[in-house]
Order: sequence, then structure tokens, then C-alpha cells
Amino acid sequence: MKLPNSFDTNEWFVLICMFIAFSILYLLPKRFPLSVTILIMLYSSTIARFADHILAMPRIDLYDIMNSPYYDLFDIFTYVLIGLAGYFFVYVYDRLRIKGYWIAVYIVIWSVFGTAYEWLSSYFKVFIYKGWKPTYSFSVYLFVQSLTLLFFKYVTFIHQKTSKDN
Amino acid sequence: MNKTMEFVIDVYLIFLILFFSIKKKFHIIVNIFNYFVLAFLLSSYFSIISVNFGGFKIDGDIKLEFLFRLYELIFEPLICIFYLNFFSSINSKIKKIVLSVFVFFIFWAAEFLFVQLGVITFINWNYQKTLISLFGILLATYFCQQWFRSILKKEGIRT
Repeated sequence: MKLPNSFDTNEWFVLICMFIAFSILYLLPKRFPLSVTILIMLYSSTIARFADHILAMPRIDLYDIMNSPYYDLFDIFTYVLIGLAGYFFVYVYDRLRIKGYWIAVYIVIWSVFGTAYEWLSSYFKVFIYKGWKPTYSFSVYLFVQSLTLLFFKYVTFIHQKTSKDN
Repeated sequence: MNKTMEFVIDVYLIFLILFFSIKKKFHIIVNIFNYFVLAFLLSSYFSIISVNFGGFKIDGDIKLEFLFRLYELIFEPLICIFYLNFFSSINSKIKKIVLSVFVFFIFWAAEFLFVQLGVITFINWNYQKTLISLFGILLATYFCQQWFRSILKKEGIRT
């Protein structure tokens, strides 16, 4: 695993975001079983990894993460951050007991937030676009966040059903 | 080229049918967990070897590369899950060895196919290194799986 060539604003930005995200995670009351929390975070990180692996691969190369096309330690940190963001997304959804058309509103709000965060990340050179635009990310977020809620519903259903059966 | 693509897609589909029709040893939640761990590790492994180390180059026909991407992100993790489930469900040591040899032969054959098709070009890489890396990834996944199963056990889920 490569370490970053130089420690710039993008590395600081990622570290500060991680500090904030872990602080929020620590302060929030526990809401889900640990296994469900792990699955939600892992799902979010893996989806992001898939997207980056396909869209940032040499032949398509729509963007770079951090300073270089190489896969380095701070790339992993960005996936940890995305995992935490996925958890917060599901946490607030479950906490507010969002139902009906409010689900669509909620997904749109989070997609706007995600796109704005991505724009801020690109400002700090966490993402270096070479053909990708943050507006494309908005469409991706709409799709992925809908899938995240479906995945969350499925996992909690299976978890509750199996706990009762046992 | 089209015949090769058809053949590979058919093999993928037959494997998918087989995968979802066979009863698994582990709980579905464990298998979902394993899939995400494997997909993350395998995609990272391919990025590190091809981009960071320049061990191999991925190019050639874009349609064939698409087949390769399907293999690395979907089929290779599913083969590993298949292996982890079967390995735990059989008791005989001989059968475990035979199964391991068979699965690693599949990994070798798949990579050999992609090398022959020109999707992967080895630069300073070889099949032995691939098999050793995959063994490491499988071992890491196994330890993660055992840890996750212990969490589920505490939550009252038998896996």
C-alpha cells in the first residue's frame, strides 16, 4: 500500500472529515445491532470502491482520487468516510421514521448534500476530475441511496426474522 | 471473438444458476458480508497490482475487458464464497484438499483465459503470484468471516 507522496490540503481535509465523522458516530446513541451497522458501512464502502474502480481505471479515467492515479492509504480513508456517511444516511432515515413520498424527498436532500460534499472535496483536491462532473454524481447518488435503503430494509428484515426463529 | 464472449457469458450464467440453487452452509447475512469483503479486497488487489506495481496491464478489446470486470467484481468473489461454504461443510480432509485444488485450478484457468484473450498482459507478474495473492485474500476473508460470525452469535443468530 502506497503512502501519499506529499501531505497536502487534501490529506488534511480527509483527516478532519474523519475526525468529525467518528466523533458523530461516537456521540450518537446506538440504534442498530452491530452486525447491521457493519453491513451498512461495508456496503457503502464497497459500492464506492466499485464505482471508483470502474470509473477511475486507466482506460476510462474520469477522475483521480487524491494526488495521483495510484491506490494509496488515503483512498482507503475516503472509503471509510463513505461507509460512515452511509451509516448516518440510514440512521437519520430510521430515526425520523420516514415514510411515503418523504422517502423521495429524503433521498433528494441527501443526494444534494452528497453532491455538495463532493464538490467541496474536489475543491480540496480529494477528487481531481478529468471528464467527470459533480452533477453526474447527483444521479449516481439518487440511484445508490435508493439501493442503500432497500439493502437496509432487507438486512434488518432478515436479522429480525432470524433472531425470532432462533 | 463473439463465440468466445458467448462461451464466457454462458459459463457465467451456468455458474450463477449453480450458485443460487445450491444450499449454503453459512447464513445469508454471513454470505453478504463475505461478498462485500471479497469484492473490496479483490478490486483493491487488482488496482494495487496493475496500477501501483505495474505487475500487469489490462487492455485489449473493450468487450472482453467488460467480461474481465464482471469476473473480478462478481464471479471471483462468488467463487470464493462458494469455496468458503463448501470447505466448512465437508469433513473429510482429502475432500477439502481436492476442493481447494479444484478452486485454485478455476482461478488459474480464468486468468489463463484472460491472458490468452489479451485482456491481461503480464509485465512482471505470473500465475504463481496470483494464486499466492488469492490465498492471502481468502485467508483474510476467512478471519473476517469468523469475527463477523462471533458478532452474530452474540446477537442470537446461529450462522
